[in-house]
Amino acid sequence: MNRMAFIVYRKEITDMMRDRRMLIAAFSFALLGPVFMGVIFMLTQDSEAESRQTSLAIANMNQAPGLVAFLEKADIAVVPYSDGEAIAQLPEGADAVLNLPANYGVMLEEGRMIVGRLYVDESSKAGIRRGRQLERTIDGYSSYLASMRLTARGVPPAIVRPIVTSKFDLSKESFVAQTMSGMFLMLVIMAPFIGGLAVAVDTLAGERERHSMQPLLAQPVSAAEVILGKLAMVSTFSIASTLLALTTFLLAISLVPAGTLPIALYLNLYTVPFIVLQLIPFAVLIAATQLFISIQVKSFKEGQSYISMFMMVPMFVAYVKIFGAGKLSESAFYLPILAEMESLGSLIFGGEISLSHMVSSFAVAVLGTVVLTKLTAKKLESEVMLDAA
Amino acid sequence: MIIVNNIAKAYGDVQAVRDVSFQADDAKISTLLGANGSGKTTTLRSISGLLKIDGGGVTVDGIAVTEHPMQAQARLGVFPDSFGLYPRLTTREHLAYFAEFHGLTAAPLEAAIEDVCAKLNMADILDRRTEGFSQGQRMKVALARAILHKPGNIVLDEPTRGLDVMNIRLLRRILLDLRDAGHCVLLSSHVMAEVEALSDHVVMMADGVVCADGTPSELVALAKQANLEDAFVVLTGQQGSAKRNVA
Repeated sequence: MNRMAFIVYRKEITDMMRDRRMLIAAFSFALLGPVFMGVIFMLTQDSEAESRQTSLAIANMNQAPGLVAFLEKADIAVVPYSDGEAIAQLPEGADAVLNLPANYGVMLEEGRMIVGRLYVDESSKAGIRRGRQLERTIDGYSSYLASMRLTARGVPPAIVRPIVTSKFDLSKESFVAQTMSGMFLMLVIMAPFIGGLAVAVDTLAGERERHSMQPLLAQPVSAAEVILGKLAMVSTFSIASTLLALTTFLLAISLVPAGTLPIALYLNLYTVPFIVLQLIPFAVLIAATQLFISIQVKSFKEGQSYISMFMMVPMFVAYVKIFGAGKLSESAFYLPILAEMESLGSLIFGGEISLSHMVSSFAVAVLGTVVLTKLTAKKLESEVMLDAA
Repeated sequence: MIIVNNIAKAYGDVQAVRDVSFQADDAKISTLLGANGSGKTTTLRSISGLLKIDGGGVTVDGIAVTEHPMQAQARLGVFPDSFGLYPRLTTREHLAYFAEFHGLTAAPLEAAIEDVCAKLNMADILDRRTEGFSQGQRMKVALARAILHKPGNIVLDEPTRGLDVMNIRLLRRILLDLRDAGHCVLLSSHVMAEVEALSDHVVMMADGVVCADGTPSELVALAKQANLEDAFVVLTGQQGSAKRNVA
């Protein structure tokens, strides 16, 4: 950095560090973000705990060894139920209760129709899903018995069941895992937006409002040097906020019991330097954009309004990625923020570098920063900068 | 020395100044005297390299402001129409920040701060943040900021506005000291008593043009009036004829 820009940078850092509101605005997200993540985690806990076995309690279980074996083969935990006839609520640990008649074995032997009552709790998504799973498995057992009986009587089962389907899940990760990883990336991406917001507004719109722009521009320092110093200051806040947010998020995740998180994180000596390298130019680009917005306005309040609106951009893009990634073309993932999320996603959740996305986001960051900084410096040379609103 | 030569500046349809010319010499206090909106601030901003003039030219110690604004600014100390202080910085930090742009660092910088602090009697506010400063204290910081690097030319836009008598007297003494030390001091004002007490050379402006130019006594004689105030009324009242009165 050249000497004049460094003088501006040093003054700006001193100035901003003395404003408690600026510091709270810049770093609160990094500290509150993990809490937000925790809430999301808790909200998704209900449906994400898919790895746990579905459990079924069966009344008169000793009468149905064949059904029990079939269920266990389908990875369902089966336990006997002996709490009596009246079933008002599910026993602890069971996802459903199947009430078989006391003479189940005899009825099965005689080929009579057996009515088994399946008690489920559909008050949660997981309850609905597990209830359906059990219903399907029991129906599957019923179909299995029917085909055995038909085969024993010389009738091919295909006559009564001409089509049989088998489902194969080809998705790389579950929807919950996709949402969780998308939300995590969104929070990381938003950190530079929040970190630089208040200081970017104060350093240009605020300076203009305080009428301190005029004495500054009357000094033998070029507009480019002033903007460079201010960009360095806003970038410092953005980068610090981003790295702090990343650290606190990772610390929070490390506190989650192993195996309960639906996403795997690849954070090691290989990926972390690339993650940091990826985030730094992005944070500088956001700082340059915020300064560009800040110089267009005359007052701190006006600047806050516009830069807050700018905050909607990463949120919107992140939601598009989370909920509409399948509908986007391949080339869309090379756009700013999306390319950033793709590259970071590959590093954090895949442990590998997506070179094309990384190069694309780096090039956009460098080019964008240069263009926006030049435009901001040009605007600073304008006479309108001398007077406030 | 500052030479203003036929400058013109318009803001959209409004012609702020046109054909303004005068010379502010070293070791003299020159004053732009004019009513509100007469073009004083536009003229001083043009000299400070803050505006792009539409025509004419300004030189500061022979350096053309339009062509070499930063070289000209290095020879100027500017006291703008607003103090423009940073409320979270101390007076010392203000002074150091602006002085560093002029190449002052380390021991020479500290010595310059101590020197200006003694001159302006501002030791009590030197290490205080400027938030909550009185008008007089703000003026001292802004003035110290303009003269700390000992520029050859000092430009002040209505420096006495909002000040009490004691601070006006202090400011007046500082400006006279600067003149006596050989600096070119150029200020703007619409306060007759102040202009009369301070100025070696007065440039009267009205509606963006220079109406008259000379020492206070020459201008009084030219207008055939008893005092500068009456002379100002008479001389600026003639500007409609677009005639410059030369004393």
